[in-house]
Amino acid sequence: MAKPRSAEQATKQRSLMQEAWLQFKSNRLAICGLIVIGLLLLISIATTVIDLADGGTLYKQLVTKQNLLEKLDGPSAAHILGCDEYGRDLFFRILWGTRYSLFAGVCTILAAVLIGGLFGAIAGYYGGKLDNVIMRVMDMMMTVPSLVLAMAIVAALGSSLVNLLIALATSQIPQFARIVRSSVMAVKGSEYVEAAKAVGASDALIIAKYIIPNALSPVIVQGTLGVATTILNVAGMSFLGLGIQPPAPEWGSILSSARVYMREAWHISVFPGLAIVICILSLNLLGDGLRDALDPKQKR
Amino acid sequence: MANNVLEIKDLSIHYEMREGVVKALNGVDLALKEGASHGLVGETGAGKTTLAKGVMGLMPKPYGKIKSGQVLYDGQDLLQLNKQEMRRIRGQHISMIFQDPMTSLNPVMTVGDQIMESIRNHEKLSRRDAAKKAKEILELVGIPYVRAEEYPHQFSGGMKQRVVIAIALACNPRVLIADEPTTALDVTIQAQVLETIRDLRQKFHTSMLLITHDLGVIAQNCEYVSVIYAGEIVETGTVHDIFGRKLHPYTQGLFSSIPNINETVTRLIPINGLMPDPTALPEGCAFCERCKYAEERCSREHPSLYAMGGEENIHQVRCFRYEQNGEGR
Amino acid sequence: MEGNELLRVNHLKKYFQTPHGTLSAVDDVTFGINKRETLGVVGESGCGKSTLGRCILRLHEPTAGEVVFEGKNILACDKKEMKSLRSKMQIIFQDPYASLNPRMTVSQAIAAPLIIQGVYSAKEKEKIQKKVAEMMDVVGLASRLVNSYPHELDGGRRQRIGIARALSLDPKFIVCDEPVSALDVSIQAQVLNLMQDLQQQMGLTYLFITHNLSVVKHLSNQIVVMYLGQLVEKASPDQLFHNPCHPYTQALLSAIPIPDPDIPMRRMVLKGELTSPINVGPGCRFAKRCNYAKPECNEASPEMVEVEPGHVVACHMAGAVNKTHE
Repeated sequence: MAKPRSAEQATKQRSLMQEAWLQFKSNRLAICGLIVIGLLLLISIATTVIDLADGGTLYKQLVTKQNLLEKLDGPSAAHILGCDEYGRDLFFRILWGTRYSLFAGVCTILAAVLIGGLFGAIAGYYGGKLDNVIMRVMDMMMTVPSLVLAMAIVAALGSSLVNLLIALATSQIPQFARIVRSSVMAVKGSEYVEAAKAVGASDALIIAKYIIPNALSPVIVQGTLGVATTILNVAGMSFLGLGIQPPAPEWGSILSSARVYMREAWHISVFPGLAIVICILSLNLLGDGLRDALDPKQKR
Repeated sequence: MANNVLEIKDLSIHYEMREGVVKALNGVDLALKEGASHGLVGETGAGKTTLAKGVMGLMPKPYGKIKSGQVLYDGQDLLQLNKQEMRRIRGQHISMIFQDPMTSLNPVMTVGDQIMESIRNHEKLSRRDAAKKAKEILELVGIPYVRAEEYPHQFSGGMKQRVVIAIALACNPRVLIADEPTTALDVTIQAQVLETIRDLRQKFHTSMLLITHDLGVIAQNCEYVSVIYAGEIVETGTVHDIFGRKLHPYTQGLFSSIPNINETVTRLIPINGLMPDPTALPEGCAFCERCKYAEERCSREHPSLYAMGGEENIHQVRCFRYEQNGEGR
Repeated sequence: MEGNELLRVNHLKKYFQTPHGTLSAVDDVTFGINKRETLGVVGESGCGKSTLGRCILRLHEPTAGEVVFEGKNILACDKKEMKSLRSKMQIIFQDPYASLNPRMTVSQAIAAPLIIQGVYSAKEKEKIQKKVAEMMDVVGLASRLVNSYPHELDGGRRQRIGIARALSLDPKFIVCDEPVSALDVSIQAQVLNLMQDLQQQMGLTYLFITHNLSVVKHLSNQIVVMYLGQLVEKASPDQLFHNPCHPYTQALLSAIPIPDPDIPMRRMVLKGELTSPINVGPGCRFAKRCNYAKPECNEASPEMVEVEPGHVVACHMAGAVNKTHE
């Protein structure tokens, strides 16, 4: 006979993160998103490692090798997705292009989260005039549309990869400042923070150990979605010729050069476009899944 | 003898969750007499709110499942009604008041509009007539009618709860289910709100199911009482039966846990332990682990309700100690 | 200050500046608590009792007045002195769900004060674990819960963690801010008994804040009633319950539903609603709702008047107010 369990014995000692993971696992779409992004990450890493290892020979062979006899060929046995206007294999170009998007996306958001988050935490914790000043600066940054801001910065600094990342990160900083600020403000008033103060904890300790860990959830969600936005922005910038320069096979720049050939060679536009769509969709599904899993109100 | 306006028969409700099945209600019977006030006493997790929501057809969608039973309103089983029919019942025949007045009201609608919405959902009145009726009801709950244009945040907690009562009683329902209506309120405001409910009930002859954990509130506002523990009724009868005789060990424990202001107490006598995990209820009596009278039989067999006579011959207890005196059901 | 007094609060004030005016949350409150005794602070929402508790611990900075702990005015202490004083003055919160860091285990929550105060360094894991185990035992938490997270436990257990946390530094004085209000009745009784036992065993002094008079009756040596930031009555439990002199106390007592269906409530009805604590005018703050109010009640704030030894009331009509509730 099973011994009756009181609420006592039912403790499973799962941290909040573990609970969130269980919730996340049950969301099939989110898992799909996770798998796809995982795959893309693997591709990015693999292509980078290969290039570093063999000094770029495979790259020259598969990605930049031109064969004008095959230019604008549609999908075939030799070239799965066809060739672009220089006869370069589209499939391998798209594959190698993955790392630009993901790398740019992740780096940008990391920088935006760190910088925006720092300002947001300070503004939220100390309040008053400091809060006012910081948030008004953020507001001013938000008035400029992200793509336009990025374009302006690149125009001023020159169009290299680093400048591109700076430009994109800058446009993303305000939203993270806001999110972290409101999380910090919400947690700041919690009784467990008061309890820490009642024991004599310093401000720094409280921010680091009590406030930030509890303010992370919305940042994680927004960060994931922010990567998606950034990838779109990178593609957009490259499409406009301001981002990553050819012959680097960045998806946006492939699209850009494919524009003129849309009538005769639909495949050069469609496949990179599809790659972008799949990437963004997966990130969105992942982000949604994270939001559902991490939102405490969703817990029954 | 008045007939029963609402009869809950053998109601079982389970929540099918990821971690297991939560047996929130297990074969609950409750009869609400016409015009009477029936208290449902229990602690967190006993199933009180589940019962209320089950009656109202407000079970949480994917995982709340009604396993068995009937909810008879005027002879009609509410559990068999479709959404449309149930919507007609709610507000007009059976109304509910929830616990937290802070979140029960829509913050972006004026108070008057919210009452009117309730009225116009059930009665075919013009906007003007509905507005007039809304103002009348506001006066009835003790709020000056000029405040109908104000928003919920402009009212105090007690007044918000009175607005909630006004909305609930706007269409003159026969049954009011009040789920811990005053738990979140200060004691002087609680007294005011309960008085308002009492006055309105007298005026409209509304029957009430009052759910609370506060024995004082029960004593002063109810004629009948049912004590619920781990999803089942463990004792039921008139208020004098329960307060006077206190037969079930859980009932006794509840009484000795509360500091009575009229008595000199140096130490409270709490009930040891906790309510059992609803995903793993014991085979025998649910209270067995915490009961000072528990015997070996109690952990194996599940006691039924035994009739104990009482003031109106409706006193019943779910405990083997009374098996001899009473007749099993 | 008398020799037996652990804490004395003198003319304590806490005002908040709001866009609408000055909010007098705590207004000129004076009382003392003897060692190993309990002072019950009773009042309803908005009376300032929680703010009072926090001001005493300097979790809010008081606007004026003195808080004298063991003979020393702690409001004059600097940050360093305050930090070391905090180990002697602790707080237990009302909401067992909000007062624990959801990302810290039971053990981490109880150990945190020890590390912050430097009693043990973070590296002395064994000593810390031993102390944590000791505290869990003292408050009746099963040792297997040591690595559990708050969201896995019920309200009663969480509250015990809060108590263990407050006690880990071996304090002398604890502000208990509605420690059982959020708990079920049977759990309330368990926790109240625990607090009583701990007081005896560890020689603790409590400031017990609550809105529930019946809870505070058997625990307190003295009770003060607060209304809109001011003390309106101070007495021993017996005196307060058998001879309540302030009209507000009478109304409060009469509103408590008695768990006996044969004793009807004779409720003293208060006029109107709670008035605003913002920009309070002169005069007694209770006057607008008082059934006994006279014109002079609106002119000057009432002084504390002694009606019997150890029983004071702030009311212009003290003594003249009928004892309608026995």
